[in-house]
Amino acid sequence: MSGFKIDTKKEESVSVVRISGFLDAHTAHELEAEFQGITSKGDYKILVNFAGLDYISSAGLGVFMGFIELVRENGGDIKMCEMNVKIYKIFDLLGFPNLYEIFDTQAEAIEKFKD
Amino acid sequence: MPNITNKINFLKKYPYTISGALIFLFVTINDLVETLTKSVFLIIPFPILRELLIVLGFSLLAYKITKSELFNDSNVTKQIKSILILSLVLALTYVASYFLFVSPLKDYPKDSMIKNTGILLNESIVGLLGTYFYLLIFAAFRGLIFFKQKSSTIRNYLGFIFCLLASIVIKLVMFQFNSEEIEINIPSSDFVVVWEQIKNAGYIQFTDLILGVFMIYFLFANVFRVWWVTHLTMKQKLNALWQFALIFALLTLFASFKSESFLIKDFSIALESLWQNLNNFLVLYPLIAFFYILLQLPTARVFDRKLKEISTLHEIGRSILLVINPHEIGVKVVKLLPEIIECKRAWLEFYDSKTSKFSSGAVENITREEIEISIANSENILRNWIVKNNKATLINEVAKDERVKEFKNLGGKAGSLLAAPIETKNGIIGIIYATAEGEFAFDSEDVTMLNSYANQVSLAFENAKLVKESLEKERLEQEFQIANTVQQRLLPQKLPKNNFLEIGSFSQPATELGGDYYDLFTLGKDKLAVVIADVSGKGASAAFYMAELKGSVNSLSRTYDSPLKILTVCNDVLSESLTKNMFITVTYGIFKPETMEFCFARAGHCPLAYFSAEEQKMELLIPKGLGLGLAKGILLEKITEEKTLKLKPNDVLVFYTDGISEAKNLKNEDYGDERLLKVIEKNVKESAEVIAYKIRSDVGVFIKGSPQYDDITLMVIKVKENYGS
Repeated sequence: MSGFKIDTKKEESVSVVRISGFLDAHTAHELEAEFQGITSKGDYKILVNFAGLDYISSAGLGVFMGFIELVRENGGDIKMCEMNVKIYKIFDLLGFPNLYEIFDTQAEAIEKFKD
Repeated sequence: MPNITNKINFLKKYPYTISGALIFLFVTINDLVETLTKSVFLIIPFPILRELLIVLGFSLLAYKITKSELFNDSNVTKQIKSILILSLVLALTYVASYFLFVSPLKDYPKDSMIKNTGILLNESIVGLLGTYFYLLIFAAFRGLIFFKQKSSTIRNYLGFIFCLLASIVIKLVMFQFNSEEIEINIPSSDFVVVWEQIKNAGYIQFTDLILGVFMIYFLFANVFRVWWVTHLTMKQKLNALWQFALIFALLTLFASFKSESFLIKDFSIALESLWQNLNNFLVLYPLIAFFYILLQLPTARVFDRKLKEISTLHEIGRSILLVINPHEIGVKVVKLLPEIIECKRAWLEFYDSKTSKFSSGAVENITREEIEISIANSENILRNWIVKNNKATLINEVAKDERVKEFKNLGGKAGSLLAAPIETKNGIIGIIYATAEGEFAFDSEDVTMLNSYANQVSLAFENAKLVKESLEKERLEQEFQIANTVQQRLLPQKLPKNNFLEIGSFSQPATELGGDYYDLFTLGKDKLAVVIADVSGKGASAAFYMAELKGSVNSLSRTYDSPLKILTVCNDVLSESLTKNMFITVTYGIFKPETMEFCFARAGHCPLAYFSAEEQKMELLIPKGLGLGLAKGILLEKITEEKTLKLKPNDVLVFYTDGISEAKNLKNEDYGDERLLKVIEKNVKESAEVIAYKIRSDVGVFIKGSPQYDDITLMVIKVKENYGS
């Protein structure tokens, strides 16, 4: 199994978190720490780019749920983009698209943050 | 009568001793008769026969001796004692016999009957008893020679005995053929002359010479086997020293004195040879042992301490096994310390690396309060130094050292102080102390000692910790096992009977505590509720939420008729207890027999596979839905759809969890919905139970060789063909 990688870059006012590999019970805490770091700096506009992600487990999904309340309370949001079909299917089954904004491209999502 | 029986038993019990003694009696009588009648060869016709009888007698006794405890015991101190006692008896026999038979008859004229008889009795007693004791003493040395036995030990020992016997034989042969012993003048520098001498001496003398060389070799191979000395304690060494001095004196005296009034040669040629050779051994061995002990005495104290160290460490080792309570280990540790280091007080202090604070532990001859006060009221320079440098420290004059003034009167006068850190793999956990009243009471040896002791102590503590942890682990495992059993009871133990539907199911958790749940329960006549759920995560938390889910769904099913309503209320209830990052996906459905309707809602769960028998079509039903715990309030009710199917005979419904659709093979490919639909379609004609079995085995074949990552749960419902009728 390929590992899990995170790469965060600030684009304009948005923290873009690119994740790749496997996001499961073993790697979820890495993403959690990343979110912790971003929010503790007072940044609440978070865009997660799923382009390189091959797999997500329920523990991985839990990370988003764990932070969404805090982020939204502070006027920010967690948006998602560039998911492959398989990952989107999992999000869709769970009803995540009703709770999170999911975009096809990163540019679209960043644009949306400006509203 | 009983007397005779006793005697016969006695004979049976000691056949060798008694026959030996009888032979000697016979020889003595013969000698006596010869002396009294002043004639020779009266009873025993040839002198060689008399010699052979004596040899036979001693052979019998020697055989008996090899069976005795004296010969077979390997206890060094006991053997030395036996040797000493036997040497004393030997000397006493000689002296007693001299004063009884020789000394009183001194003034009698030569060749008088009485004097001759006295001399004869003296000869017989010293010759026979003396030889017997000689043999016993030699036998007692075996235990010493065989200490730390090697393969060469037994060879050398037997070699020596062989030489003893061979020498007797040669002496007897010489005696028989009356050959004159020819002195060979070895110191001659002319080799040819020596060779001539050997040639003149004849074969027997030559053999005797060769044998002598072997005899010397084996003698020295045996007399230097004194390794037992090293293993004695100081006290035992001192004891052995004077005992061997005495043994040497007694045996040397016996060997030299006997020539004055008694010549063994006059008594027996065979015994003379034996005595000569045994003498060499019996005088040389005590002498060498004596000097060897003397040589070892200076190091005896060190050796004693090493021994004590080993035995104390052994005792600590036992505490490790027996005691798992750290407090009890501490008590034992300070109690044992004065036994290896001569100290007045001993105590333990614990060090907390997080707070950098010291606290008192077990104490010996001092109170914990005194130590606590000393820690609280000083700068703890020494304590901190030991922790920082991880080194044992010796303070020879506590009174003169400002850095350790808090120890000066700790628990009474403390002249010298010794302290060593107790280090485990997690760092220093404490310090062990020993104090003595006098100054310069400890030496560098004590420092080493305390250090190695501290190592053992740390091991003991570490072991106690490990034991505790493993007990804890065992307990957890047991509880896990119980949780597993309870969780298995949450799943249906028996599938309900229904006149309209066939039911098949299968569930297999990936770990002991899985997150998958399914249930079927009858709500009225043939009215059936179906639940399948997947709690995010596994382990204990998943198991708890599963139990809560079951309780909620079960009770809500009896209150509400709408699957959506039930899931909505369920969400409200569970949201209270679910942690932020946990959620549950559920599909809940109700079958109503009167309308043949199946109404269900999907709260984020996997699709429902549906085969319509009428249309001969397989499809995945994915009505909109949101997982439980994802959103509070009415959002779920707003998003989630309720769907109703009108069931016909032979329709098939398959509920499953993502453990099936996401089952992975070795190439890391998903089993996927397509494969699932295919296997269902292929088997729709089978019963619900068979369909469930086919799916299960198809998944099994697919993942072959790859571990099961997620729980697998499956539920198949098939409408009966002739329901109702």
